[in-house]
Amino acid sequence: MKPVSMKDKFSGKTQFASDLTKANALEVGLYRTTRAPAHIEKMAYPEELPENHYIYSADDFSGKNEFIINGESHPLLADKKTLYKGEPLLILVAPRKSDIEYLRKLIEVEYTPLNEEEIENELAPFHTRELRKGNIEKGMEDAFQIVEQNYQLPAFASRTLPLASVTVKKEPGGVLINTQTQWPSLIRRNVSSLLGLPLSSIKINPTNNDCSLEKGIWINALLSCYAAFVAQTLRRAVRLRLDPKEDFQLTPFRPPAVFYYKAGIDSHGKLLALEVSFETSLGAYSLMGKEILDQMMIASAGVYQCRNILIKGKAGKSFNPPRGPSGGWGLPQGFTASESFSRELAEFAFLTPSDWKKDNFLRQGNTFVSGGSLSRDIPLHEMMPLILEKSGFERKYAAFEQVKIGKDLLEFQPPAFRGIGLSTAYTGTDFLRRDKEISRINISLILDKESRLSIISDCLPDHKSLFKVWRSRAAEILEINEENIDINLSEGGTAGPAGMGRNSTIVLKLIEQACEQIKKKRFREALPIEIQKTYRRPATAAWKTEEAEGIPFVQRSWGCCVCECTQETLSREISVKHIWLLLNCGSLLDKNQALALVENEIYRSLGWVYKEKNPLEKYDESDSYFNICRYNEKVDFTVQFHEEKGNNRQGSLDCLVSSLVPAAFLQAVNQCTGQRNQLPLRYSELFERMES
Amino acid sequence: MIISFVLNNKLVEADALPNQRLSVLLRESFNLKTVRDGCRQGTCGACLVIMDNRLANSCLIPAFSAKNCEITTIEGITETKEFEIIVESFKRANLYICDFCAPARALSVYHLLNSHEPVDEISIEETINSVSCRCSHFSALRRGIQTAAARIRKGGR
Repeated sequence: MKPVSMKDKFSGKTQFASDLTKANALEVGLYRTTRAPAHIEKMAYPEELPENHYIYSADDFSGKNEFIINGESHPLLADKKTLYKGEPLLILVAPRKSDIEYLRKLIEVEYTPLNEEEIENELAPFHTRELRKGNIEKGMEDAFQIVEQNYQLPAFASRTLPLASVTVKKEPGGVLINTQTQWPSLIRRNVSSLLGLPLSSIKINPTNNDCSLEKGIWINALLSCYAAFVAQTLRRAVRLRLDPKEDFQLTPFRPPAVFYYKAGIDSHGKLLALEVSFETSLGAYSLMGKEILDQMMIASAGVYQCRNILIKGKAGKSFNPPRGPSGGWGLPQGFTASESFSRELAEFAFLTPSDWKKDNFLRQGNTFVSGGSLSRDIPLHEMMPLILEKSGFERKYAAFEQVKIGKDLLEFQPPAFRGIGLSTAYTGTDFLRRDKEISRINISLILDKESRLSIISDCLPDHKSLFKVWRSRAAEILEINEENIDINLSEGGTAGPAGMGRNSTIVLKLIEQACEQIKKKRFREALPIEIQKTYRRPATAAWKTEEAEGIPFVQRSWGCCVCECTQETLSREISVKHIWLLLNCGSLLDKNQALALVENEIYRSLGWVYKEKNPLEKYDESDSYFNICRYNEKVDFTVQFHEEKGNNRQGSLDCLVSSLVPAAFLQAVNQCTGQRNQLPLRYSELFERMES
Repeated sequence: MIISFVLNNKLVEADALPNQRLSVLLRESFNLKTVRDGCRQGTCGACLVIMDNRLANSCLIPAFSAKNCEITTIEGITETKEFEIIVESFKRANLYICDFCAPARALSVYHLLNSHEPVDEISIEETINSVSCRCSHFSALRRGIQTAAARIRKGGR
């Protein structure tokens, strides 16, 4: 994986999977079910097809008709039953894309809908979790007042480019797969099991081009199975590209969730008991569902101290394409609900949200929601005063609240009503679950006789700029030239997915440790020197997945956000006036990339709460491609990074902004309109509320 | 139908199918992979080309309508001084950008700087809006465009 210069980037010299085809490569397409949930009674297609035209069903697989991620599975092709509309049913192969359409027309499928009993059986939830701490009943009994609220948060669908695509070339004894991926071992494992080939014969060329990898976690791995099967069967190079519509419908996205909150607070607003019930819908198949449920559960309790907690979570099933884990792994939903609820608690306690937060934030010695005891105050104590001062939150909150309370007494309507919201959240490095398949990271460093260093890893970042950081750290420690460092994908590696900041924290740390060891051995032992490092979670972090005990994540990043909104009196239009963000994610590796990521996430977050069409509604082809705020609807924002003195560790930025902005925005909208618990915001509902 | 047009300053001929998009023609017949296969709805802007001195989403244009037109893709400008300046200015502005939209971004900026229109807030905003990929940090993008415009005005210094 060579570094790419800025000139090469702009000249378009970097290639994507769909560009890497041979002239005689065959096109692969998927025939998808048109009705669901249903039994597939009959599939009919002509046996005699023109030359180089093929149709394959699940019966043609010699291996298992199964795509497995961390113990959860999705059939590669629907066989006797289909659970969602658009589920792959047949593999179509033709010389050209237009010929695939010809094949599609030859296929006839008969469906019978599932009966009510079958539907009921099918809809049993995938997973449930319960976390209990202290005595919830006693806490509620002792409370001065009880506050309850429900929140409905929509699914988040956002198309990402490039379109999912895979090209596969037949090689002696195996296949070479070109695709964008952040989890090569997932492709290797599934393709190997389908084709019955050893892991080492599945070669992968990751075409990661600094583009979003939302699909990279499993969609491209699933597509690789189809393409590899055809390449192996026909011994030809093949290409599989999803159409924009197919890509949008099947890209995994943030699952929707509903929350019910009930809390008991004392007369000073102190949180005495917190009860949360939530349910998320993962679609027809659960893929990484346990991790999503765990993260949502942790986030739903927020960052507040409470001795008596009861959280019940359920990952439900529906007849929709599989959702998640992209778009935040459950943290944004949990924090949006918990932070919006904290505002309600502050209102009931007659406190400003900032004062309520200051009184209730976790402190040294408090136990986390999970029961782990904190060794020091959380950084939010230091960060809150900074963002409050920068945004003028307290002054503005008081002024806007006065207008809200006295709205009916005003002699004339102001041109706009205004609102301001405050939210706090955290994210962390690494996954909560300890399953080896997702948590394993291996790297290997080899310093050869020519002083060239090879870093071999299969925990691949989506952004190549991270390679630059790896190179420069290794070059600095070993005092060699950066040009003498190669980064290669390990063959037959078994690492878990890149994500949750694992590349910028754990892999970098392993590289640093390996380089230090090479440095010590360098002039004592003969070259080449090889060091292998395997990641082991620190015992102190001791997060126990099944019991949900300890302190979640290995390294936490913290953030505060203030969002100010206005609603025009005449048009009822809501616009974001300014967003202030203060983020503490340790020492920054690349400020420009961090800023680009933050800006991107701000717009995507606003898309989720405000602009985005609810994907549960009928898919409408006339939807604009990126149905989120465009640059001409630009949002003013201020981003600051809060770097603690003496903390050289890097933290993750993943999901932090997505957890902060929607909650602050929803609170600001609540102050100007009264709409408090449902997303996405719809003009019709806002208008109704204002008029009533 | 066989059509001829000027592609990157060279007269070329191609067989344009009736339902073929210009973006597909450029990618398949001329192997110009920098004309990205994006949304195919004219929204993402990844397939931008300059067609008769106008920026155009080639995915929305029927291939046959390129007949007798002049089309420029990023390959046609990489040897120009302006392109060097644009890349250098983005580098100085510490721009972070993904590989997918980078060629279209450079082409849109090249078009702005060669269009004899004033480079002001509005035209910069329009240029940025022509590509909807959200990978970049927009203040850096804006800074890069302003620097490139200033340098071109000063004759590349």
